[in-house]
Amino acid sequence: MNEFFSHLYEALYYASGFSDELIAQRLYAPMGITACVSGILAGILFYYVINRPSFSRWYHWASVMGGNFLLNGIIGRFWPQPQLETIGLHYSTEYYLIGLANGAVSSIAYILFMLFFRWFSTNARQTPIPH
Amino acid sequence: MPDKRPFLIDKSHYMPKLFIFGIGGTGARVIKSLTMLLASGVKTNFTQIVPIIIDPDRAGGDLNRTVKLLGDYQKIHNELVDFPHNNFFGTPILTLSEAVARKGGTSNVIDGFRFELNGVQDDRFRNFIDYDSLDPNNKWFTSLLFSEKNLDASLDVGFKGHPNIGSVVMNQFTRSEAFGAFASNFDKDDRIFIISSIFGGTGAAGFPLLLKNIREGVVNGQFYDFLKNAVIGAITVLPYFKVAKDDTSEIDSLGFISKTKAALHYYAKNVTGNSSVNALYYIGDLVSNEYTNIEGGMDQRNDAHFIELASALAIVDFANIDPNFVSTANGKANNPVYKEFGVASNTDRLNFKDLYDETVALIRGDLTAFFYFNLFCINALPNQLAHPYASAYTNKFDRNFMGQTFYKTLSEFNKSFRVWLGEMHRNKVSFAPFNIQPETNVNQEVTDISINTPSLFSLLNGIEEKKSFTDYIPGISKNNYELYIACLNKAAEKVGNTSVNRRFMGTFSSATKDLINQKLF
Repeated sequence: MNEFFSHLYEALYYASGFSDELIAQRLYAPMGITACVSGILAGILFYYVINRPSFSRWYHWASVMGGNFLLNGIIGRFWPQPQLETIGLHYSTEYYLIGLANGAVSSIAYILFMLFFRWFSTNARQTPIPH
Repeated sequence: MPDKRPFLIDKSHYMPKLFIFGIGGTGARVIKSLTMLLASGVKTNFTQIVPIIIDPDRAGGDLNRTVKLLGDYQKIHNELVDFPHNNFFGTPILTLSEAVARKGGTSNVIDGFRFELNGVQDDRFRNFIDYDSLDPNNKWFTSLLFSEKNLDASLDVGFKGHPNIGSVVMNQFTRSEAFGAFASNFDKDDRIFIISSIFGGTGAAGFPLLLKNIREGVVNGQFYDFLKNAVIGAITVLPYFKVAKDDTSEIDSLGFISKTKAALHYYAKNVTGNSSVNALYYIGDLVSNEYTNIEGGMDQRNDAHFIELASALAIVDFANIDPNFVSTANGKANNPVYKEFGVASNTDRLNFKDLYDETVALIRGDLTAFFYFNLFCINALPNQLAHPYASAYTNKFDRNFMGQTFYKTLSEFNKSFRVWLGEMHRNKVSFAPFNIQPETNVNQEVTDISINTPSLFSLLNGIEEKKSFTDYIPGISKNNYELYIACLNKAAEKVGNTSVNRRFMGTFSSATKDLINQKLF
């Protein structure tokens, strides 16, 4: 699982040393699972919980994606820092960039959810792709 | 291998028909109300309705409005045959010619829904009876029955409140090819309903005449047993409006009551007294509303009135009488029934709360559904075409669909429905189940209705919106048109992909029913 997510994250962002430490500390797996679950939950929230005609335009969908991206960006920014610092490793910009990558991974999950599961939504089945 | 398929039978041949004779202006207006009820989804035990309007006033505004409405109804219904998802326009309405054609007869006995009396166009009664060629004795005798004014009366706008003229002219119908076609088309389980007013000329004369000819069972020299022993219902509409005093007009509402009394006296012997009808309905009202005095023609367009709606309910009531309780033997009704219509509260402005439970059960849900369907079509549909109910299916509801004949015909019918509601709303007595404002043109004719509230479910007078706990949490519940669209999206999934016209009506019919069940009843 860690290896799978490392490929994904490193395709989005790779920094020599920092990324290797994330693999070594097996941090990609929990971060990736959390990001994916968060993306799926955001999809469920948009398509099945909110699921209302007045919140079914593409920009509503995009705003949920933006919120989810932000949330996962913050998670990605702060999750690895204490664990790497306990073993004496200090980084700065890398944390922000892995945060962005984490937001992107969660967004990918959100988009995949949209592609496969929006059909079952009553009010948002055409969002963000109109027929 | 034996063919196990069921016999392929055109069931329409075996469906009992309800023939409705609408005589005069009142007949046309009651049939208009019945058409509105059928469009909204009110059902009867009869799966085929055959209206026949008998009115010499071929240019009559009310008559032509009704004829157009019936034509539009047919066009819409024909797109929706055997489509269970749809509740609107569900009952087939046939012209007499179509009913005859379904049995293999000649298909052009009358043109559309109106029987055209010959010899009344641009002619005077004097010429109609060929007065000038009568010998002196017959002229004197005729003068006893008809005044000079009667003899000089123009017939092309009706009988202007003179049943003595009407009874002569209307005899023509019973000798016509159309009446013969009706008689030969009349089957065992069919029924007849006759609508007439008692205080005018055409209806007061036509009803007993028509009834007598049906009960004789002989048409154009041929005997029809089913016709003679038909189950017949009728409504006789007592005065419910008056016309403005006009010395130049032959119609004077001061004579309405005396004419009514005279006609009732005649009916007591020749209609009820001889058990000619199986069910006779009486209806009337305090005469508190006054119409412009128009003798006939295209300007005679009286506002729709609750009495006409209630009269249409008499037709539904008659159609739903169990066959075991009505029978006729040797041209006489066994145990005839006589009914009146009543309301629960005596008020100038009626709403659903003022009607008895039986009436409410019959019309409240369907009229309300059709009203909300109308509101959505005029206020929301053009701007709400991006939602799944409209655009997620192969056959989309889009601008192209809205430009097609079906939607245009539906829009015209719907507008007539709203005008009908608006007219009843402003009439006396007012029937105002919905909180609407009639819109009028410079001639003060109702042209449409509007609503003054964004709160869609507060539009039923006397009925509160149903609320659940989520309605009290801001941002959680769906309201107004958003809830309607949610219901439409859900209904569209149930209806699925079918032709766009069927999908449109099925989706709206199912969704609106669901909506009003959630929020109102």
